[in-house]
Amino acid sequence: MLGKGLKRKLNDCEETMTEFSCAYDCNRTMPYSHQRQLVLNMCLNKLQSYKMLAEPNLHRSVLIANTVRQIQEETRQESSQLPGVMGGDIPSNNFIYTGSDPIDSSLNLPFGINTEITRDTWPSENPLDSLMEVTDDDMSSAISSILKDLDFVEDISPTPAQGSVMDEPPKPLESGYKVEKQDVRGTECAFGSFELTSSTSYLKDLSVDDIFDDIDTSMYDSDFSFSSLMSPRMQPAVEEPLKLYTMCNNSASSNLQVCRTDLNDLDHIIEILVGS
Amino acid sequence: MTAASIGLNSQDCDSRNPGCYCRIPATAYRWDAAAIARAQLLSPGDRHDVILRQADIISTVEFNHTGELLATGDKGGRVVIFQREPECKNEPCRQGEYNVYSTFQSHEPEFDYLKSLEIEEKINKIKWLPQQNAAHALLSTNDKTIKLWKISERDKRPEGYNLKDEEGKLKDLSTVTSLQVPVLKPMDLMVEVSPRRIFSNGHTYHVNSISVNSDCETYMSADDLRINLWHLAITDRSFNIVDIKPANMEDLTEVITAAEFHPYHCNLFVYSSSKGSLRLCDMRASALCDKHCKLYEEPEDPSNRSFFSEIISSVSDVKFSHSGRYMLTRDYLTVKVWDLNMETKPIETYQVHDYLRSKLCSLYENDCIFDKFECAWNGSDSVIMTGAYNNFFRMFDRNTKRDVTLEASRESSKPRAVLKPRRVCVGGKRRKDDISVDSLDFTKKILHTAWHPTENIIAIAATNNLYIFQDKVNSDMH
Repeated sequence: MLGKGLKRKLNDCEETMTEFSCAYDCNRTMPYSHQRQLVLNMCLNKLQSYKMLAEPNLHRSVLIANTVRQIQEETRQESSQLPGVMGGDIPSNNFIYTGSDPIDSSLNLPFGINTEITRDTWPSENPLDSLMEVTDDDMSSAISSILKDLDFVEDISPTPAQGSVMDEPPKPLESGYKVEKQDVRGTECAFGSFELTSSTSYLKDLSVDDIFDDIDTSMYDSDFSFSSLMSPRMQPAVEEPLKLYTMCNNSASSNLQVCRTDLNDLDHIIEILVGS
Repeated sequence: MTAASIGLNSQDCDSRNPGCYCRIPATAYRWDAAAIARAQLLSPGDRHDVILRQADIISTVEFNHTGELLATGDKGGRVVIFQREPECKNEPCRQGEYNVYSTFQSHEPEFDYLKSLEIEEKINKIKWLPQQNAAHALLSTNDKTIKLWKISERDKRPEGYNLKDEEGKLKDLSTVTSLQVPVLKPMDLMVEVSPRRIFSNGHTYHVNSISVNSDCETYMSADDLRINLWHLAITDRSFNIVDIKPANMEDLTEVITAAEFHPYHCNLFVYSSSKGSLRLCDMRASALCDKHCKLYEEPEDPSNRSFFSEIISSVSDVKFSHSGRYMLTRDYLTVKVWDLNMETKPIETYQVHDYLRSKLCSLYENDCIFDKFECAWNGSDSVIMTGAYNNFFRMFDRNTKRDVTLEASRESSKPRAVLKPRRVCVGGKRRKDDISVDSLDFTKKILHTAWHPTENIIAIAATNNLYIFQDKVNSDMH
């Protein structure tokens, strides 16, 4: 809508991105975490296409890099807040605040679907790989600093993803996460955690039916709680904050159980999705 | 005169192709003649059919100190100088017309073999030197190299040399039997442009500004990370007066976006940064002005905080007022007037296109958010002007606080036509002739504008077209 008359590359990912950025602009109530994910994706996209520019522009790169840094700093702060929450020494109403609108996360899709969507918005070329190839002049070292930061993000990434709800990372989900990692390599992998953590409330204001109208949504209403399909971080759902809170303080074994069921349910959902 | 009441007359010049730089008698009273003259300039077919060539996009506009000359630079490395028609009592209407005076190729594309980088020929900035004699001089710069050009007129030629014939060949000495005094004969006016100095190898990054000092002997050039001070006569050395390059480029978070000398304190200069701040430096303090003497910065408004806060606060241009008391800065959404004596916040802030605040994500996505709009003062520092999208430009009257949006387009600015104020409608109430935010054309942007140093004449660069508008009230008085 805004881009009327704009020169635009006509490939699918760009178009999808445009839709999202328009959604960002038009839909002021888009969940913050998703806005952030969207901006981050665009930043990385821009940094990736950086070296294709005829005229490398330090000013622009610095501004983009600072935006990435800002987002990263936010995420880091959130992740450092979470362990305290985990300890249970903070009242439960505080627990609701995990930085990414857990209220919305009850209405959500399994993370497998989320990442699927996010992956579609990316060009097939791996952004991180291409960034690595940048020659070693000063400009590129500025970019490589972003890369280092990305690495750091990757290191800390499991913390927000797993630590948010459980004291101990549940093994079944962990393995599921690894599979995910192999699927999306490079930057997408580095930011896989972002996708897991911050796109939780992805569909808050967009009705599921609108976006995935080819998906049979009847199942969501029926036998199992949708929120239990979320990655652990996504579990703080409004319907069951108490259950969740108990879970946090529970022993790891019971967590494991919960997660196994989650994984089974997930398999089930994926089957349905693939089938449809 | 208020900004809102400025009735502007138009004259536009096509800079699409160098062959078009002819005298265009585009006046009201000669409207037909003008139309014909311009039609002849064009290649067959409608001018709108001509594909916009990147090289023809105007990249800078600058009046000289008297306003008699106007220089434009383009992406193709060319400089075109326009001259104002001298005042003529018989045809008062012609006064104020700018016609092409000279065109020359200032910069050529180059290649840096060491860094394996192309150096574009695009003219980033032009600055006129104060006139010292009959000739004019200007500095032009691309990303790396600054050049000093001399522009002089010749309307007489010497004739009757003793040892040379008409073509300049040496005569056979045996034929020289008598001596004569050579005489100057009048001839058609010829404008000669010659390169006088080439200041190269001073910049690692892209030069974004040049500014001539009021001492008329030195000038500075600023790139993303450094500012150099040059003597106009010395090309093989410059002094580095600001260097914000961190020891480790990974720590880089800020770049220099523009720099300018104070109009009459030769020791003072200001530079702006991508973080939205201005630093005033005093060269008397130390040779290296890494420590500013004043930092002008406005605290961020938390209510408008977004992911793009820093990007939109990046200052794209800074200009001292003619009085030297104020500074004008442009960031993505606003223009601000700063008092040199107040560092904490600007004394005035004007919204250029606040309706874009809700579109920032899309503007980031399509890179428009990185556009570098310039800003300009009028001769009396009472009105400020800056560009926007959709070929719109904005004027703000500092006294009455009125503002106006005008459009530079072929359709609306026929010669001598009076520009109608335009309005961008936000929300439901849409009046006739209003344009909605969603139908703005973001490819048509007015980045470069210039205001005549004393009169109400403005030059607007809209991609490959140069528009010159004149205050109607003012011109009618002549």
